[in-house]
Amino acid sequence: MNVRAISLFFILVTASCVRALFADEAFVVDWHIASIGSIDPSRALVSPDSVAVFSESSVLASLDPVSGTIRWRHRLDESAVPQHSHLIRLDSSALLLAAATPADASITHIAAWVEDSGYLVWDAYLSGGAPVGVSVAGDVYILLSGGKVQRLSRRTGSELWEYSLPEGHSPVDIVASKHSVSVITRKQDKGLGYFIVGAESGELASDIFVVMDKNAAAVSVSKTEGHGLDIISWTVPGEGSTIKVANLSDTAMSVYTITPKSTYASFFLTSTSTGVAVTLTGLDGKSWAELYSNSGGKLILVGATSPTESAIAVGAGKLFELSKGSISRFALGSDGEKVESRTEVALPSSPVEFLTCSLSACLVGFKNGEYVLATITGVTWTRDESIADVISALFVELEEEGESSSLGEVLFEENAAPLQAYIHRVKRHWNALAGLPQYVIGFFQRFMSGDYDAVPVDPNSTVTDTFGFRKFIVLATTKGGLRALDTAHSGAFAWKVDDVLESDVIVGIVHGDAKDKLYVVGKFGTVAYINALTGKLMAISKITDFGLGDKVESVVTFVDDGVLYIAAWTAHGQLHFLKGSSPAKSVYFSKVIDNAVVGYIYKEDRVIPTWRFTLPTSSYKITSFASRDPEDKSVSVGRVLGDRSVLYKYLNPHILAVAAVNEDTKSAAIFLIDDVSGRLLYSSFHDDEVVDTAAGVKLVIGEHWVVYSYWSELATRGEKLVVLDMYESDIRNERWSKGQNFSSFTETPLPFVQGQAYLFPEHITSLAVSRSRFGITNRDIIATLDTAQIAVIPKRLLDARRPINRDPTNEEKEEGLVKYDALVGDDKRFIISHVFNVVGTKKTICTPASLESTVLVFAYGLDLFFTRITPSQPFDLLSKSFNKGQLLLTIFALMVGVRFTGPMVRRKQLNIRWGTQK
Amino acid sequence: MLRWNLILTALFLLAHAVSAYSLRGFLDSTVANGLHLTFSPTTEVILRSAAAKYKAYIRADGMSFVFLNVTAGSYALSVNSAEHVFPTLRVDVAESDVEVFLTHRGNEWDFKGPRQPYPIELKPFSPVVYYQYREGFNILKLFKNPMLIISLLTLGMVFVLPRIMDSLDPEQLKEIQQQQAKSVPSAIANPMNFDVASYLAGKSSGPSASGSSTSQSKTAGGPRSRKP
Repeated sequence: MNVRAISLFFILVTASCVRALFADEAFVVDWHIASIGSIDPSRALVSPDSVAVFSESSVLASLDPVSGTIRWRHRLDESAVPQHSHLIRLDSSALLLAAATPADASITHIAAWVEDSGYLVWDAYLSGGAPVGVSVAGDVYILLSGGKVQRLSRRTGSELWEYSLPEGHSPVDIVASKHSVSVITRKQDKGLGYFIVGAESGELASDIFVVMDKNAAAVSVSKTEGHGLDIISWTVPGEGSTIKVANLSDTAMSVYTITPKSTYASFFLTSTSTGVAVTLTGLDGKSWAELYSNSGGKLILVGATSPTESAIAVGAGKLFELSKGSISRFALGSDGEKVESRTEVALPSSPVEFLTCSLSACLVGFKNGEYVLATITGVTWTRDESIADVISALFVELEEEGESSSLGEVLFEENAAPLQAYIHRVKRHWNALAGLPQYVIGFFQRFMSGDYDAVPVDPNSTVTDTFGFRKFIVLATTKGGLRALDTAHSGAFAWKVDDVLESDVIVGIVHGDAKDKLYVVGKFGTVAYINALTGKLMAISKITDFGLGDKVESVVTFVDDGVLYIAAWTAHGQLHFLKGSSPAKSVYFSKVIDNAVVGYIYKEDRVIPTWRFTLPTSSYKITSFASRDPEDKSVSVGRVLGDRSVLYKYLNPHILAVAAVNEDTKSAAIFLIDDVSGRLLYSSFHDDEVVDTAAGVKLVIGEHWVVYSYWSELATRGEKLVVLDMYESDIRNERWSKGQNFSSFTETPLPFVQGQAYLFPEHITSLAVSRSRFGITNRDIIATLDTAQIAVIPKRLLDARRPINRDPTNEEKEEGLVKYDALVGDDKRFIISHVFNVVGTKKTICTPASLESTVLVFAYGLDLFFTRITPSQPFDLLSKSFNKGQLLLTIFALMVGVRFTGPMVRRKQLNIRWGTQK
Repeated sequence: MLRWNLILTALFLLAHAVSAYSLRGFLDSTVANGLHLTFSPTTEVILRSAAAKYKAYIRADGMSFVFLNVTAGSYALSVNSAEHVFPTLRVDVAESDVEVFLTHRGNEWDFKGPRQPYPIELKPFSPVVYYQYREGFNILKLFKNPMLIISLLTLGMVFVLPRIMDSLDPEQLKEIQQQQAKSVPSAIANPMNFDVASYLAGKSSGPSASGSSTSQSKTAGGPRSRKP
């Protein structure tokens, strides 16, 4: 291969370093889907004109009640644990969120947020445990797990008084009214009861613990925040299905008893204008509701629904029932139930997880991760939040246009009898004529616009576009479903499948032999074979020879002699090959297990550990590891220097980079290991730098280099980005791998590693590298930042050969080197996510388009973000600023010019020849 | 991992036992020409050291922020904003005092920048520019291009020069031609004959001097002297 030609090409291609998204391409080539995560009904506030949620992904969000779009959201993963949180309304315009902090569960963070805008009103840290109950009655009253009650000012959040429960009481809940606060507790020997604390004084109104029930078991408190009566209900073991009810707003707190008509697994009580309504779920999973009316000091059953598979909820004095595509609203009157309205709604087919309703709006959660807000007029909006919890994602190539119709037919024509083949060909051409008008129109459209990129693609087709920008992205979600996103249509769902593994948990997805088929592997050994273009299930099977209690941990693939082998790696260290065949030769792989890297060999149907790499001391912890993408291509084996000598790249496909941090010394270390032999190739230690060990080290491997980043305090504070370039030798033109395949088992010389470090302005949360079709295009490092943005850093900038403290010589300039500058990434134009707030990105994946210049980038985590980048400029694509009209006009002007000047020149030449200059 | 958490928790508890402070500050929304900026609620103010990270959100007034429960130490303060570029500050929280300094990325941490007031005041430098803009076709810009002006002038000369020459009397014409023959090197005099390939190959220092009869130089008017 002509190394010189390639290097020249590189220099030409990368002449300009300033590169950014064009303003007219923003929102056209990229898209972003913002998510909030799974919703728990206990942390969702639903009303007809607002929906507020604190999700399982720690996102506090306010949703537009009409469109379901996010009005604002905050990711509070550093200050709030969803499982120990309470979300209530502070007043008509503010939300109140009290939650235990992740770093310390004994500290509660309480914050009030403006519901319309998302600005913070006030916040406070309270020591004394996680929040057990919060109640608002003018001011805020909070009960902490440590037995403390606090009154906080509604306006500022400052503490007005504090009251500690006596010893031996465990807090249950708190209900505040204008004058008094009821603190419900359990005492070991006395059972369920309450204290009354004066709202103004913060002292016990009377020094007695009022016992409600000695043996109370399941307790449920229903608070209406001023829209009815606050009631407490509990069951008593040994008394059958009886439920006891007490009105917390009533100072006497007389206890009522109700007895549902059959046994139940769970119950929930709400107060109505005349009594209580109870929704129950039976042992068989069916739910029903019963309505009781207060009459003469007793609660009397006045109506009940029959048990159904449907979901039932009570809200704002109405009973809602969701079943078979319709939501019915019942009035809860003294005379039992009466259907008020019934709305037919188009709901997802997945089973219902919860139903929570207010006056006229119901939020329905489905098992597949979809959420629907339905009102009496129908479905207002639907959100699919399953895409907020993605286990694994991959790109799926689409068919090329015409491919399916020609290849098989051409083969037929080549092999059939001549006459038959001829008839077939004529027929084929005749059929193709039908598409001629369309083709001619399309041709002229393209000719006029000059924009091949904008050729519309039918969203329902599975055909890619001119340059291969259209692909599907298949996501495997924690809810057990698959979602295919169409990259050309802003990430719209091309197809979706729920519960693909029949209630098994998805561990991973991989491509099969055919690129449009996928294997989906479950934790308990279920394997589904899926058509990636349609989502159709083609086969489902179960790994049979599974050990007792064994679980699939990950999916590994091997390519041996061009054959793809897919295997499930289990917790017991076994490999189960999915396609029924296992490689004949031995294969090597490595895993990070228990803070060590273990190498394995698979031969003769057995997995044998071969080597183990342990860290220097036990205080080192592995934070991340990376290996080279098997599909990453190298076009040249060497790097041509300015003087035409070559530094040969160390191109070892088996390099594993491992990063570890030491919590004791606050240092970080990097190890490069050959993952077949376990040989340590290189190590680097960052001692005395005071590394942020909690954030760890992020790393990525490209063709012959490793890039990693970490945050440290010394010598200067900030994110450090380090590049390690590996060459076969530090001596130019020396190449020991010449003319032979080098093996991991032979004692080949260690790579010559050259490193350089840079400072990056933002905290990096993950790193990835771009991959082009043939590997000719430069590589970009793609960094996700904790500012909820995604940036690219050209690998050309991170080059260990950049001259330090001097200008590059002419030879170095020819190599494309620029003077070393410690600061990289200051230009915001390197941020490819531009104005999008891409929250919670965990991983970035890349795939090439049909064009060599273009790489498709997809980032997932909480949000999804897709764009395409051109690390070496779009050199094979006509620029959008190319003006066809101008070109045609110029040609026309030239033609006119020639037409006029032609005769003049001819006459002049004639005159010269005849010597008759006038 | 568990042990890791325990250590963190222990550190946190220890820090709590020591003392915790509150830091107040605001984003300055006034810009030079009397314009007022608004800061989106997604703007976050970050206080960071290797041991701890604190996040503060913008308050309902649209500009102020408060850090609660901050332990003593030396922190880097930055603003996560999608719209504006803010300076980075160094905030030293000690028992007696809070000191704020302006820092520049890449400086050694011991090298303190100019002292800033407390409560912390953050004034955005500029709006963030993410995009590159295409230059559209502009006729005026075209005429500002020096290359175009030169070529237009040359074109003009082609038409104008022969007329000037003609208006001169034969004596003067001869004189000018003689002068030109002396001063102008053959390479420039005969650009049509310039051998690009051999020049790039470095084979010869200049073009071949043998002029052909068809060559017509616009600049020197050479053919004029050659009469059959």
